Amino acid sequence: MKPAKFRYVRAETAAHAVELLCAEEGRAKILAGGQSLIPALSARTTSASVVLDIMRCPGLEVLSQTEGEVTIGAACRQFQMERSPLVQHSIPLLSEALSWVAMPQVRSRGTVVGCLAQANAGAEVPVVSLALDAQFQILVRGGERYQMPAQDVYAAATGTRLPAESLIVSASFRSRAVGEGWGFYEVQLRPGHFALVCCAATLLLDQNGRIGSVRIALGGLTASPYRAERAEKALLGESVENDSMIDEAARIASEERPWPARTDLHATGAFRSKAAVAAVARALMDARVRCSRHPGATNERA
Amino acid sequence: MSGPDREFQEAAWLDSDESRTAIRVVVNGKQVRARVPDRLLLSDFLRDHLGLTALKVACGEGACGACTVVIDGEPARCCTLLAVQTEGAHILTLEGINAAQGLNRVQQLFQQNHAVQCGYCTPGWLMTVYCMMHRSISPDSDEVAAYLSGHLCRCTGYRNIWTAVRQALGNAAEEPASGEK
Repeated sequence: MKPAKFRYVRAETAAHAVELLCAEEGRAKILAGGQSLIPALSARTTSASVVLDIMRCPGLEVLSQTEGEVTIGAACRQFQMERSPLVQHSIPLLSEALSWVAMPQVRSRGTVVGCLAQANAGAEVPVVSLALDAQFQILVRGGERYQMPAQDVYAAATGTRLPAESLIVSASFRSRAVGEGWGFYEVQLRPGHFALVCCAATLLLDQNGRIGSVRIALGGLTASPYRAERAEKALLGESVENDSMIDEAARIASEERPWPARTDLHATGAFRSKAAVAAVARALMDARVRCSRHPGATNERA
Repeated sequence: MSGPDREFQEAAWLDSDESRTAIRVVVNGKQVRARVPDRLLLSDFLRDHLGLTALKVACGEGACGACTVVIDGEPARCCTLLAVQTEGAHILTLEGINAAQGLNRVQQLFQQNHAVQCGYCTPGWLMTVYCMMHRSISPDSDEVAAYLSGHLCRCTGYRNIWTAVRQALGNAAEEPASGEK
């Protein structure tokens, strides 16, 4: 398998990359880690006039922390983020989810933001971005920059709502609040395979020890990931020890899917719907174990 | 492999009007400069152009691990990389870690444990084990399974490979005689 001919360009800056994208009128492709793009070019399921390598653009390699959030640049590789003490401490849900992404030999090249842009069905990072209220910083034609919340990016039944000829320069994830628990669980055929379904969840208790804040996001069940807001509402104010509420929320989360359950050669939609219930329950239970039962009684700083 | 400016062999399928880019990489400790076709995969560059044929190309899409090499200290597929992407990188292939004579220690462990049968996947495994040893991964770590899941072997059934790798990582303890894994 060899790719068809294209021209390779090493973009000098992020703005240069967008300029070239616009000049090629949709025929150019952004290359970051290339772990999805190169196999697709080789299999010729996609093609490009120009392949634009953004990995050496200044600034895109930056991982930074501001109050309440961690920002990951488009050139940050998955293995670096997985092992980063900052990510492990402030957005542990992401570093946990990254350990489910493909294999170490692929995470050594793949990028976190590439995973967000590619948005393959069953990809883990977009699901985490929904659970952590991520904001994508997007650069468009003319050098204009704006923010787009993950929930808007993944609001379409397939693909993304990213503007044409745009570049995600970075993504910001909400930092773990003091006492907040998190869980990630995935049902897969074998390690390294895409998720049949996966779930990311966070839980934070209020002063009375009841669920004060919760996020549940699901991937793989439908072509695009979604946030299970009805299931979240059902849990608010409930006791975190209530197993039957967790099971009920998991059932609601699977059923409230905004699009049809996905059937492919690996699993039927019916199987995925059931697996999703199990994945949500497991993610919530992991989040429960990790959240602080006595808010205020801890010195932990996220 | 000869000096840096060597005229390398051109693959037969390349056209005369290929768009090309100059790269400079270090392969097994030697500087290599070349003007490579933009669409040339790193696996083809290493095998066909530099004659480093220990790495094997099997699936061509990053799934099987037979083409695994070490790039800047991390194991990576070279069938899912363009040669041009590796500008400035340090690349290590099995040829770079072979013993001057005979087998190196990990290769001996693979042989002793019958972790090799047809051998097509073996160079890939060896590069991953090299990286695991450099990161001092404990033989009891969960990461062992994660790393090994990046390789497919259709002969040995993995158990012998698992044993050889654990021994390479410094645990002489044998796997249980029966039971899982």
